[in-house]
Amino acid sequence: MKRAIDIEAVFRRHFATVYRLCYSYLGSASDAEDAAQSVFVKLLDHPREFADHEHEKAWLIVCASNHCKDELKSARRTRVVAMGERLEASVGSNDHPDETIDAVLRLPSKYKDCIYLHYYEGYKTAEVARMLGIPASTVRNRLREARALLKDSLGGS
Amino acid sequence: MDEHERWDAEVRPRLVAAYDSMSPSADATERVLSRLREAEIASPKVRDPRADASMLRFLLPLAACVVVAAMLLRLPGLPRDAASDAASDAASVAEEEGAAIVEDDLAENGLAEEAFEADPVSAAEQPSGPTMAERYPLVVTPEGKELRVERVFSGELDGEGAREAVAMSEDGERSVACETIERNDIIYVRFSDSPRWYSTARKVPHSQ
Repeated sequence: MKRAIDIEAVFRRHFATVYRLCYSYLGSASDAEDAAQSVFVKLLDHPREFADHEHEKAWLIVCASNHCKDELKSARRTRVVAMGERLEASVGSNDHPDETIDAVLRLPSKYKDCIYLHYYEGYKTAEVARMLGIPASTVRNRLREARALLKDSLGGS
Repeated sequence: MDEHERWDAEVRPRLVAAYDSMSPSADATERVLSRLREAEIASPKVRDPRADASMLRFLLPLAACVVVAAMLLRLPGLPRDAASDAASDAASVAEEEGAAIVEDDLAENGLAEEAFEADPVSAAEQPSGPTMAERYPLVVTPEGKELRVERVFSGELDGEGAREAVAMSEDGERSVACETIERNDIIYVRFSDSPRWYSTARKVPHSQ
């Protein structure tokens, strides 16, 4: 029987992107692993055809973002561990530029995907808006507010 | 240097470095990939949607051919819609071949297509006594198919009096919905996809 999708190829193309986004939401490597895996399993269970690799990537990003938001909202997670404790534990390791990571991880969820997609993945605000299904003006507002928060967190540097 | 330039020069590189440091390790990548392979093996949905689409592209024309062939052979057990569609198609063909006969029939009775449309039968005009189904047990469609009239509905339709008959083929399994009108002991039938009225080829007197 023919495979629905070459999941390994898709995985190799986009795992890092999905993982980083999940990490920025959930604040720990193990949670990011689990979340990223769930995203690819979702694609495996519901195979779909994409126009190109960018379309594929956009779908995975949105799926990851939604998955992480659901995770953060889940009663289990909020009951088991407070976000602050998790962040402290994950951010404290020496191999990260702590201050900046800490600032990113402490951003409210609504800013995380905009900041990541725009400043790291290099999507334009209109593309981020289309991907997240929100107006471009909202993306611009979120970027502005996130910049202000980061600036405060990073000591005005 | 304005705010944006300062941000791009000072903060953005740190932000990029921060995200870089969130990248998965080789171990993490292999671990997740391994779990994904296991999930793939366990997944029931490992079919290619493109393969399904190819199969559909093959099956749909085949199914259409089967339906058409079955209609031509008058096989029992066909769904109603297929029968209706086939009857409509046949009616269109009959417009080419049998229109003259039908129009002669209409002319003999002093009726014209326009007259039916302008003067639909109202519920008040329904004849008393035997039902239409009893009086006209058989209707022959333009393509020569004999249908037994099973039920006739009368009443208002779009503000006008109208009738709709459900006719059934002799084998009792196929039915065709059509609009009917009666004049001088002849039933005129109009199929849903055709504007033309066809007369029944067989009329059964009241006494029967």
